[in-house]
Amino acid sequence: MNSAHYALAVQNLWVAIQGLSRKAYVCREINFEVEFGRALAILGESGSGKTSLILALTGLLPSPPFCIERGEIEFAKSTGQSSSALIMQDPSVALNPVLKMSDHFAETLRLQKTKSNSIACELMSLAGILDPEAKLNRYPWQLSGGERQRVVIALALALKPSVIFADEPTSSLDVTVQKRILSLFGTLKQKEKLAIVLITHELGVAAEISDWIAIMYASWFLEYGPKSKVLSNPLHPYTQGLINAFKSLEDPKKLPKSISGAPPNLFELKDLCPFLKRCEMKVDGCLKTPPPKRGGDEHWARCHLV
Amino acid sequence: MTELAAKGIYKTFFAHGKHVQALKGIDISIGWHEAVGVVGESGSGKSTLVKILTLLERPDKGAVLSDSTELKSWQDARKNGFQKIAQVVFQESFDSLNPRMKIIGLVKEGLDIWRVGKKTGRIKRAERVLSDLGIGSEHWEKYPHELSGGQRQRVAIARALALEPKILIADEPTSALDTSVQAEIIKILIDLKNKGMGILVVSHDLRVVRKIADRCHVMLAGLIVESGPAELIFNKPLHPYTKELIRSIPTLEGVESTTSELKPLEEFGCPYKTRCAVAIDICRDVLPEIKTAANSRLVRCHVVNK
Repeated sequence: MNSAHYALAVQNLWVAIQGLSRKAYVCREINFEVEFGRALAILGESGSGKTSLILALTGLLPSPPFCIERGEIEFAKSTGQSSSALIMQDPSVALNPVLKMSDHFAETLRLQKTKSNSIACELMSLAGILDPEAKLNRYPWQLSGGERQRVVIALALALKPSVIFADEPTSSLDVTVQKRILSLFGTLKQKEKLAIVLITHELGVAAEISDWIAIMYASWFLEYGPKSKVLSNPLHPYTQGLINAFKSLEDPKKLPKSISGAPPNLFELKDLCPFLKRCEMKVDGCLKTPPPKRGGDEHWARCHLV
Repeated sequence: MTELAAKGIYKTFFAHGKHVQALKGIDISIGWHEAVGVVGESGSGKSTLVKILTLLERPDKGAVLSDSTELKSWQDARKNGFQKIAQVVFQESFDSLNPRMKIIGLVKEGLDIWRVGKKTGRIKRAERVLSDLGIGSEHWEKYPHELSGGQRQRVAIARALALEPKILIADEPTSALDTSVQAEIIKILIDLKNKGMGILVVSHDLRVVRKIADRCHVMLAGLIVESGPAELIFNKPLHPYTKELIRSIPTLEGVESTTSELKPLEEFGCPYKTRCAVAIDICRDVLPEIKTAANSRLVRCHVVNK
């Protein structure tokens, strides 16, 4: 595999979960690459397998019950101490409530506080925290929600990773704070040439900072492509439904639109299109064969209609 | 007009070693045939307001009135048949539904507690409410964890509607849901409004409030800073904070970047002055009065009211 320009390349990744008597796949045939200084947004509903995918990529997948059945995950050689870092959804859980900020940085950097404090201040100002020296002596609960998430981002940057994984990094934040955190990701991407893999269920968040979008549904990537193409010319009916739902929320005159039904149970998944039951445009072929991967190399979807 | 109202509500909590004023003199009223929205960031006091309106929390000062009768305690509420006046739907349906009770039992619970009608009648009524909200009989004997997020939220609404209240209070009804099902819940609330039910929808998402509410209040730091017709507030916001809220909504196009950290709000003078771009000298020391501004609106801002 030629992965010279990529910060992260994933090839044909299959992740399974073993239930009591049966097995299900939480990730099937996952293929993607992320270049340095680019962001990939993985968009999916709850239960689509997006968090399992991130855990598999960061090596945090609890095994058992999960196991990576096959596939290749290749990180570019990192210049720092770590190839990747993970930012979780809720910053108040990610930080230890009885440790001060300075302790968090000392722990991550594995340095004495006298040495780590100056590095911590640099990292915190990089993450856009005002007055970092004063914040070193604070406990997590003495910071606001936005500041806490910035500290988590600063900690993620500490070991100079080439890839940052962010699992719903703004879902627990206010919109005004969310916007700032998202633009911080944008700046880090450009200035530090970081590759970012962002998981979200909100189309608006994905649109805001990503360069590539993958639509994940019931363990499969249903559509994958550059942001502009996926948003302006969605190929898969599910993507179209999501975009319509988003637009109907923006337009005051329209009644909100939803995609009826619910995602399938992964344990009952067949080879056929997982979106079949909710799809309004299905054709005969959908009931017979699994959806083929169609479209160009850059922008493709798994659907009979394309 | 008969309605549920809160007049001059003050509430102070003791947290982190200091007194925090959650509400600083809130006036709000909900008519029996109108939909009112409350928007604000976390910490603005919107959830405290919901708790006070539903008598789950006592205000330090001020009164909750229903039909011009003051409700001082649960005894008062019982006498006045409060279950028929207002019912509440909370944000996280997973937490608000007892995991050991079946769906039908959950909906019937309120009827049992208030001893509404005969026992057999209660089951019939629960079944009817559930089917009205699109939860078919195949789900009635299931447990909450067997339903999807959207279905659970509908069960939570059914629980509230079973008691046939005149006002439904929805605290962040969609924020825990995926984009594809958010619209379902919004549609249900719009439907209820059109049938003549009074609705109070509390959310941090202006788009959701705009879809449902006729009138809207914007809250910040325990104060109402702007109120008026929802559509006008969205199209022509006057208060600088409302403007920022609307700018922060993620769009498909992406927006201009602001990476600076939000400054903390302050106790004295106008709470928004630290973040405000148009703040003048008087904002530093004097809390602005809420005054009538253009387009039948109330605004709490020195600059707008000049």
